[in-house]
Amino acid sequence: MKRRLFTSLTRLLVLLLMVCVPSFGIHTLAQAAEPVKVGYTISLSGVYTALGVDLRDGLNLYMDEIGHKAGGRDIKVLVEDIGSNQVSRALDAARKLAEKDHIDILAGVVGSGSAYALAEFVEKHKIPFVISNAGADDLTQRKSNPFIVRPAFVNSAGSHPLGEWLYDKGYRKAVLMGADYAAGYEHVGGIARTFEKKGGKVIQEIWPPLGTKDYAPYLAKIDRNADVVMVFFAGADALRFVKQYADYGLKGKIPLAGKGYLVDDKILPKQGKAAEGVVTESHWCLLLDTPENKRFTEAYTKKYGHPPTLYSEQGYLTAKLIADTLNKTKGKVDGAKFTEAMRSLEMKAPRGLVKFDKLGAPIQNSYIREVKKVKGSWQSVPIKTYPMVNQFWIWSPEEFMKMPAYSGMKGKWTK
Amino acid sequence: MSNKTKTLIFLLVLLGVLCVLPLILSTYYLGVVTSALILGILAMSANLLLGFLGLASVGQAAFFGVASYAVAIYTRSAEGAAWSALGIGLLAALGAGLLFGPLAIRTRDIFFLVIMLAFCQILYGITYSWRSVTGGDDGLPGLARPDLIPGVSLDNALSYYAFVVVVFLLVTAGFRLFVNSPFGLVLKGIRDSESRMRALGYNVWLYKYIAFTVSALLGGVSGILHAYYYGCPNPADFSLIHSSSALLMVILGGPGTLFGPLAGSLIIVFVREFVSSITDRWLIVLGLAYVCTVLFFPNGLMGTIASMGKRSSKDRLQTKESLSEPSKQESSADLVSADRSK
Repeated sequence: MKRRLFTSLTRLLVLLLMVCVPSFGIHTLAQAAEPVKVGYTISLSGVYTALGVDLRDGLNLYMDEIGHKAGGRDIKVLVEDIGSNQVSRALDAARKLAEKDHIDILAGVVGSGSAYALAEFVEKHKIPFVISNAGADDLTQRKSNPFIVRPAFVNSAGSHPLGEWLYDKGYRKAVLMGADYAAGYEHVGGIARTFEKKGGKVIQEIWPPLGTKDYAPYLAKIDRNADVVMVFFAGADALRFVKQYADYGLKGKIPLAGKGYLVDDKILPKQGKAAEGVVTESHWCLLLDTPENKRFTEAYTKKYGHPPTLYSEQGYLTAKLIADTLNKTKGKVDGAKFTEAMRSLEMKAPRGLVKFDKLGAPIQNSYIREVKKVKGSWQSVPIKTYPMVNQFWIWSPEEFMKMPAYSGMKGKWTK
Repeated sequence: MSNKTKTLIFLLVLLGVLCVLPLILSTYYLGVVTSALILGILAMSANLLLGFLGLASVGQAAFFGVASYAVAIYTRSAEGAAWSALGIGLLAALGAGLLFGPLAIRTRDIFFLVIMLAFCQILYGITYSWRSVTGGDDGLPGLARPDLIPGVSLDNALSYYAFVVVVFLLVTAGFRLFVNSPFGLVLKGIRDSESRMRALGYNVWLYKYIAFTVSALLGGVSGILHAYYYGCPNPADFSLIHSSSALLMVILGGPGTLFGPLAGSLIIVFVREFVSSITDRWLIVLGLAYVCTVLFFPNGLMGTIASMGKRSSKDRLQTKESLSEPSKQESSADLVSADRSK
């Protein structure tokens, strides 16, 4: 009898807990809108976790430097995990931040799918939107809106100078290779377009699925007459790809070139000698010799115990952009006007000077780098700088947007 | 009081509560309730399979996703077609159910679970790679909510909430009619002993097929509402997390009950809402809740409430008349199938 009573009581207790706990949430009321509230939606779970953590650390570093204050107001950052590629979760988080916490500015976002959805959301809610990572071209091209500003990058923007550089280097026949999704088409497409415009030729396209475990069959397919292989892989994919490229004897035979993610600073030590001589393009590098970068790298390493990545720098710049604009507007945040103020800003960032165009895309330096051994460790060493590259390269915005979008060009480059 | 009147009372109380909510809740929480109701319908479709056929499906998101994509793709090609878009969405879910049914219901237990998962993954693969139609991993953003009747736009939180409430109540009532019909009783028979029902001359295959298709249709209803709520169908609609949380809602709420799935979805949505503001690891909390349910209330929330009520009425009966007749013991309005898991 006693035992039965006990189980009944336990049941009742757990039941009560399960029912009551969620209802507490209803009573937490929104606080008075004294500080500027920044909603920071980043990926802290799923495949983009590493990126999300660096974005968060970078932003926190800058916020700590300025004591969470700008334009005479305190800044309160509300971090929300939006998972990786979970669009409805991202929208839920944004709705929570906007309707419950009444944020003034939305920032963050790693994945492009979520970014497209949030772009519509901010337009409806009239909230300035600072995209800290998601690189999809059309966010600031065909589908831009007056609330977007991106202190990160546009997928294909940095690819354009790389395509020219590779042609100038004397390569004429290229094989395109990239992860089989929109970002892959955009990153690689940008390289191919400027390469072809100068007179180069794409002789083959290979698109392994995102998350491929073994690249052997794809590497075997590569046309051995090619002068260069242009690639986009990131994260664990990039680690495997570069290693296998060397294992299959292609390293040293056909040069490998691509976007910075191929040998990013986190995976380069693991790729080691396999990555030797790989040429990549990035909007930031660890070895960049500017006073801002030195200060940033030192402060970051001191605070977190490891060197920053390009995502850390993007998080840092996100915070700087918001703070500098608040200083300019004296703490006033007013929808599209605030975004306009952000877009008119010129910042001395760790990566160099950053400006924005009319659609919110960054105009910034593009660095061509080569993997070499520096003081006993493998590093991407900048070898050429293309100054102040804009997302439309040599074309006018109208001309550029009339051309087919890179995301629809898969399979059409060899024709 | 008969079961029927109790269900009716429960339904009316629910309607009353749902009507009062907009007055006391902020827009934000109204949105949370809306999404809980939408997921509740998805859970109901999983409940039809789990609670009435004994088939655990981690692929309900297949019908959900198919319907939401169908609505978005159709709306993109034909402007201003609200009602027909809803119809197309339902047809797509129905089609998927009819197509997958014959394959899926050949199997049971873990095999059914895996084959449903496989369907989901196939659809995920298609939506992910067929960029020209499905938008690939970017999904299809920009699906605007329609004017169902000229002048009444669903494009604000309150009107959409009202719309979802109406659909939800209709679905719930329909579900109750369906499972209490002779057809539904046969389903319960199949769940408890398929061979016996076959021996009695029932066409078990056909019953299962129809139930599967109805479940697909329900999943489709949820998918359409979800698509309009977020305005952005994307491959994550087919994700395992989506399917399994529908199943979890049923298990939490109580399989085979009418309001269990709703209770489950309310719990999950609000726990997530509450916990995610404290920690990023809310799935751990969900997992713990799940373990607690399995340990303490194998019949789910509603099932436990019902059996508690049943026990107390049993005690009363025994003291008063020292007589107990099983048929009189069904005390909960909610308990559609009282004798499950005995």
